[in-house]
Amino acid sequence: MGLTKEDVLQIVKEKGVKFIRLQFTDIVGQLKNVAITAEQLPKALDGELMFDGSSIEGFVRIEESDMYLRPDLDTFVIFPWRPHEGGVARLMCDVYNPDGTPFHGCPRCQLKKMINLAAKEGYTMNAGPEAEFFLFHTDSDGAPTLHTHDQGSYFDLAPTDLGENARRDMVLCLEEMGFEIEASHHEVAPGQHEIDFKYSDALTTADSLATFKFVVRAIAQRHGLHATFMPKPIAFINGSGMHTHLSLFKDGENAFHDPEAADGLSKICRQFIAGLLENAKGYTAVTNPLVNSYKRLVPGYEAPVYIAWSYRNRSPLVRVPARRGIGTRVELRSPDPSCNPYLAMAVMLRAGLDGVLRQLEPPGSVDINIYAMTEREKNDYGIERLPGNLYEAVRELDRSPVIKEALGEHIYKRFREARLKEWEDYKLQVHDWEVKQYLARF
Amino acid sequence: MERAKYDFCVATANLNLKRQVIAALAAAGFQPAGTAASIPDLLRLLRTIQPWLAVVDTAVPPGNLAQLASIIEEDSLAAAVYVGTSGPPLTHYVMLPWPVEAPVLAAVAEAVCLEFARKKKLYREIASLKEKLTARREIEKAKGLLMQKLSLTEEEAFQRLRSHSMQQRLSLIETARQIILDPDAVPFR
Repeated sequence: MGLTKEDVLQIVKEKGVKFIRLQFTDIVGQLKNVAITAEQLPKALDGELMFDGSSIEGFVRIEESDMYLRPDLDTFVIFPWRPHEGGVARLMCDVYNPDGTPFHGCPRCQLKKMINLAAKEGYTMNAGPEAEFFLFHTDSDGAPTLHTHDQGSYFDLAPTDLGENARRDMVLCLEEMGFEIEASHHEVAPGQHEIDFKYSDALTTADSLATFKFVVRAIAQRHGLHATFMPKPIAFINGSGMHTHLSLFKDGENAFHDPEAADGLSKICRQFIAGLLENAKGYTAVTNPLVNSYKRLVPGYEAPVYIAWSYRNRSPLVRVPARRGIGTRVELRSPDPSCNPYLAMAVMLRAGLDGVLRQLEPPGSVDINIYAMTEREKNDYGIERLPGNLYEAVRELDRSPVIKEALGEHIYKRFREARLKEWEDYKLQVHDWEVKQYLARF
Repeated sequence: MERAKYDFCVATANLNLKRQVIAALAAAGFQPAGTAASIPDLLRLLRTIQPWLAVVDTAVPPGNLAQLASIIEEDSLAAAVYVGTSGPPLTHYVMLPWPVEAPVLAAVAEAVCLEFARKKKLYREIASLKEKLTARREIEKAKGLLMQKLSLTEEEAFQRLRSHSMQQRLSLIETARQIILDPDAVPFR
């Protein structure tokens, strides 16, 4: 877009915007914001707005708490809901230190670093995510439940599906905010939905994902529903994934396509796949950051468990869709929508790039259902598993210099600390399953 | 039997209040359409059965009433009357202190429903005007493109647009959009 500071101020004046949310994410991926009035905007646009970084999870210690927000003007957007008086707009921000250097704990800055690294080699990465989520009812206290339908209520005959209605509003709202929605549909599980938006460069996509989650939640609430991006809210039914389509471009051309190759895939593409497979164990803690994420990565629900790639079959980690030419891409199937979109993009890009830089060759594609293979067959193919739980995933991250570099020292340390703490908390709990299973029997 | 004026929903966790509101409005010819015991419950109800009117107890849980009122207003979900039982008064919206006499409630309910109907009509008109405005802008743009590309007068360009639309059974605006997207896609020989 290339908006200038003057453009933004002009739009704010013309559209009667009263409040601006300066948004950024913490290390866990929670969208945070500092709301300011239109009068404070010029100061904020000069990057002079200070906030207390110590109050944000995973940022800094109390004694180094002064942080500055630098808005990215191209992310200026007015929220489409019509308030009584004065609209609300948002700007995505990078976090800076008081001395004007980018803050090492800012996920958006870290992603930019990885994008620059790829740019040095002449590459830009495009990403197209397919984020799934559940819409549940809330109870009378406004707390989310696991119900997707009103049971035995007075309007059993009602022809409208609440979830479908809400999703339509979400799509309209996102479109008004400039998203190009490619598809929106009901998913496999009851109450589960998917909205796909058009691929874009990694930074725009990460910004879009942060906005997307915010919009989906806000609209759901307006429909009396609760939207959740929790990876596996209900056992034994499909969880919510965020399959991500990735491609590298060089000089405006898709670097993954090679019309000469038998399968239409370039050497770069194969190396990128090799990088995604080679580093899979290391980046899983980032793309699947919750204890609950690993309850989705189990056999039988279209989520990947094994580190392999394929042209058609949907059981492995990486699938190559049939499209060739400019649409040539690979689909990474493990990420889930609870991840921090900036860090997830950073590690996916770095992992794939690692394959390209080291000119790795991927193992042969596996075009049979891996879930139906015996252990021995899997061994013969050299197929390994993704980490089985959050603890294993963090240990794998510790062993992966490439992914540690992708996160940067500061984020890596705080990220692993926060993940391990979550794991420890989880371990201390006595779960419903245990009580049901053991209380009466032992 | 008199035809029902408008249908309505009541949102309250207070059984007594619910009964009295339904009795008062039913006596005045309104049609009860459902009840909700909480704010999310009411939102789901309004989205599903789309009644004309919502009568909301200001004490309905979980309590973020101002937000509810603005959602109902911003999304034009229904006409709304708030009956105040507890909490601070709600400004900018129609609020009656509880208890309220049945005829007063009915009269206010009718007034807000009429107002809501007028507002809906206005919104529809605005939407259709906006659509026409965009259409006109796009047709002008397409005309301009044709004039430039085929060195036509304005009148000739419009004729081309119109005859192509008729031949292809497209509306003028659809043809215009095709031309704007790709001026070469539409043959004009």
